[in-house]
Amino acid sequence: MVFHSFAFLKFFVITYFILFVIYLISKNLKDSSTPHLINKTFLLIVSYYFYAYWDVRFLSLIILSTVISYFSGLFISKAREKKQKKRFLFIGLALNLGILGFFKYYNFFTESFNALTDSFGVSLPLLNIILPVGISFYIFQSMSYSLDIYFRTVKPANNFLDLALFISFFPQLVAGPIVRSSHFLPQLERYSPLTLKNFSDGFQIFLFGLFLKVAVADNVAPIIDPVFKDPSDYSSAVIWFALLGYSVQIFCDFCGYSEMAIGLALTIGFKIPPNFKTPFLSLNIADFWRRWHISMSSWFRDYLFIPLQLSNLGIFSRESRNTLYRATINFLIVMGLIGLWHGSSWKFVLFGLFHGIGLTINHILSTYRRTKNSHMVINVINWTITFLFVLCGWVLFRAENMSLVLEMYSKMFLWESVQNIGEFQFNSILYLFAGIMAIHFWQFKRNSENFIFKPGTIAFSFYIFSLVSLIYLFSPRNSVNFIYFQF
Amino acid sequence: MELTVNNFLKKTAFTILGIILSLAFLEVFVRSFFYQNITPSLTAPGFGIPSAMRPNFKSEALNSVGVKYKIQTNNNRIRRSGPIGYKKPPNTFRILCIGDSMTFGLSISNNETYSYYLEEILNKNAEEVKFEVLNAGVTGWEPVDYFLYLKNEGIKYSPDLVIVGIDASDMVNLKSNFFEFEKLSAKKSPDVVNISLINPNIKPYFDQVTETIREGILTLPFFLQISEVSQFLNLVRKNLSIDFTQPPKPTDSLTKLVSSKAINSKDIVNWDIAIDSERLEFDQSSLSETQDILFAIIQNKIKNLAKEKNFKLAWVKMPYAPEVFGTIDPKKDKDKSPLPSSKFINLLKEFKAFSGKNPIPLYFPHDIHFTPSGNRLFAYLLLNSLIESKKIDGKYLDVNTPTIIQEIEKSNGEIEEKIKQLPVWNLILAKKYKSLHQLARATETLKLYLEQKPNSGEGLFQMGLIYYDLKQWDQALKYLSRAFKFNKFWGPEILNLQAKSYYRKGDLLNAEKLWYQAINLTPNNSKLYRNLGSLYFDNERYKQAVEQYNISLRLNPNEYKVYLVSGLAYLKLQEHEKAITMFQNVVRLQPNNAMAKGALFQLTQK
Repeated sequence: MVFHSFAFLKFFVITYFILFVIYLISKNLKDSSTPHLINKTFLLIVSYYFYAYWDVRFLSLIILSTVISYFSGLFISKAREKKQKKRFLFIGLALNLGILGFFKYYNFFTESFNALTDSFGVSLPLLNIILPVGISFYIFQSMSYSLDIYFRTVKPANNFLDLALFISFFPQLVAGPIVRSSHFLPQLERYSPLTLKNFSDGFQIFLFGLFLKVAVADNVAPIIDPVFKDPSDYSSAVIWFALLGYSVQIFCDFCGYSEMAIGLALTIGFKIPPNFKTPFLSLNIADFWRRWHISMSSWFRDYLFIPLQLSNLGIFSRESRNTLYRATINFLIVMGLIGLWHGSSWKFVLFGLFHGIGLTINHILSTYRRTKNSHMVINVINWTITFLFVLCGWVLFRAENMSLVLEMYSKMFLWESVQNIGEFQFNSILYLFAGIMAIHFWQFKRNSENFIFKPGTIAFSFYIFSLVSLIYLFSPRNSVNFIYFQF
Repeated sequence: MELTVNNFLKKTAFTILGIILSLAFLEVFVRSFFYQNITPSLTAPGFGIPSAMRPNFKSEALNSVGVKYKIQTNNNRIRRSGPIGYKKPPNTFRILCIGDSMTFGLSISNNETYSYYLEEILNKNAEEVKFEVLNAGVTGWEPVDYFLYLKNEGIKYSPDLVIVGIDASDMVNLKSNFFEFEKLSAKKSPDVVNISLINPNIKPYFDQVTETIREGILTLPFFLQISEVSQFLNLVRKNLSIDFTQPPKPTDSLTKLVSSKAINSKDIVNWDIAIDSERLEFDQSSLSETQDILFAIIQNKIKNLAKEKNFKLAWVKMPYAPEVFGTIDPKKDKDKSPLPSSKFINLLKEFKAFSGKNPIPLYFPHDIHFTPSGNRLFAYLLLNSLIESKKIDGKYLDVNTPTIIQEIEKSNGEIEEKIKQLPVWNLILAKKYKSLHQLARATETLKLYLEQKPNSGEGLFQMGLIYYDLKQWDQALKYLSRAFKFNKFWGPEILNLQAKSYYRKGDLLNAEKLWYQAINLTPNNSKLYRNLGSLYFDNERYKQAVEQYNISLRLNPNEYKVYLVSGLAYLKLQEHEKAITMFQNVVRLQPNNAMAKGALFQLTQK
């Protein structure tokens, strides 16, 4: 069930209606603890239904992961010694990663292992595993719970129900944002009644996300897909423009999904932090990762990069703490894993390492940066370099296999003007990119990612009417799936 | 209280103002980025078909060469300026033309369609009878639509003759999911599949109520007027019409049956088809010809209708441009089944001959649709053929007389000059000369074209083809290698021709290399393996030759020539048993093949 389908509309209307009934009942009661419990239970059932809609078998995985985190959290909080806490944490993480590793990476590692050991005649069998939708997202959410308890940023959940709802909450279940337990669990402590303001704001955010997804991203896909399928048919200029188009597509696709999730959650009274903050305005690579897919990048930063920087293990001796050598290694480890998180192929690992190198270079340069507010010209130069770097990175992300990656790189840097097959719509890509940049500037100026207006104002009706019209006019009649569902 | 009322009014006013501003913004947005030329849609649901012509429709537009044309329909949805009643006036011979865009007359005016010309010619030479030729063709129709129109509307005119124009795309487009069968069953045995279809029926796309609603939405006069004013609303209307006129997609019962019985497209199928206890006879065929079977069912149904309503029938195969020019597109035409031509009036030969002799643009460039001249010629040729087959009484008119040639040429009017000014006209002429084997003239005109368009892949390829025909291998190779650079679409074909040129030249090494390259691009082309096999055969590398022949036969098991050469290769390898099987296959496909029979006789004697 994707958000832009009639099945989901039906699902959501019924869900909201029942939540509304619970709200009406709770209004007449002094004590809201019973409706609160019913509310949470209902949301959990609905979320499980939402997930089971793809495949009932996947449901067992999400429950298993919840059980692991629940007990690991319980034991960590009960343990007295630090050593014991650590042991429970590692058991919890290992089990969760085991699920992820088996379902997402088994074949990848087996293939790589077999390639290595081929000459010795040892080989492991490949299995026919279906990748469960959204597994990378909820496993990470589940792990954040044990980690948060270990770092004492959150108290253990009051009960199993709260934790289960946190891990399976349907708006962000299949493609994020990856919400932290420290952010979400406190919201479950008290009953938050439905309000008109939440509904109106959430609806506007959802609509904006829907617009990005169906009116923009899905229209870019057919323009650029043929180029990625067979780059040899196109000139260098087209390759660069296709990458620009892909930036627009992936941003609108993923940011669109995140916005829809945030909006939906808000309509039923839950706040989820933003996942994108004008990423195309980044002035360096570190800045880019602070703005792009924030929930994931900050997860890796807080739970992996910072602990690695502070640890005293093995090669990371205390003396090397602030050295470039150590930062470089950590950048590469973390970014390599971020790459791998996206998919089980060496292409994604390379994508991560590519950005890791970018971060290292940025780290070196940053020591020479004196003032915080640099001149406009320098900003433009920084922006251009950063943007081109990100564009080059998308090749590894999008191209279908390594030989196409190499072909695209060679075309990008060794100018070639082949006669293109068919017309390539340079203009559409340019206009759309300009449009996205305009939205970025506006968001930057307002210092908010969301455009929310008060009902009954001119701006409100203008915004809603325009968005709905544009969505109706420009959504392709055969919809394209979300890019991030595969991760 | 007053305050809240005031507040409410204020909010409502703001909301409306916001919507008005939004409309203005959207209008500007759509106008600047998505300007649409053709405003109202020509079609609306009717007669059970999603896209019937709309009644009393009028529009003007520019065609691809920049000449204005007009479309007008009458109140009965016939492409004609004047009204036509269902009741036939006395002493009138009425002809109803059904078909797709070729019959309709895409990008030409009402008085430039073949049906218009046919009426004009008939009435000029008639004395007592008045002829009416009605154009009921609609762009995009296919045989299911032809039948539904005829059954639900066409017969109301009580026509004397119905002309069904069958186009090359009809087989591909034929919608199998509108067939219903009273009974439908399949039995699979190892050798053959028996499929029996009892009493097929073609159901309309919509029931009457849905059709009326859909038609209503699309033909609201308010909508039409507004859409002429506002580009934004017109785009909304266009989307609505896409969302509301798409016919429902029922599951195709035949496809379902086939997949449930695990029948492969290559299985040999015995069809058993009964319509009202009458049996349709078919030879054994494979499932890939299902479209032909369904078409035959439609043909039969229309035939029965003709018998019942007492009108004559003429099936006409519309001359397909690539066939007229001798350039069948390798990829596009792959799936088009050949039409069972014997039952059809086929004017291809006459069209080709005329087009070769007279440099008149009969088709729009880069298009398969007739120009007015093409329609005029078609009308003459069709008339002659109808007279010959005694479907109509009239005077036979030779299209090769100067007056008629002049008349045909004049029909194009402005279009003629416009097309002749285009560079592509020289390419069209060159192809024409080539198909008439006037190679010297073809080379000259092609050179003119290549001067204007030096990087035209098609032009270079045609040049290569001509030099190949002239047996000037080096020249051919020169043009072909350039053509390959600029024309990916024809890539494998070009490589094949290059390889053949090298082969003929005696450079076997390069020929082999190029054939492998072509095979890499299209590994399913049996022809390439056959050619490569022949190269090995001539080189006395029989083992390799046999390998290639075997691949070729796996891909296309009906080539008797490959069996023959393969048999000869096995003979050279002294593998007599295999040779015998090969020759037996030749005899199976060609029972009178003397060479294979002789070889078989000798081998079995041994």
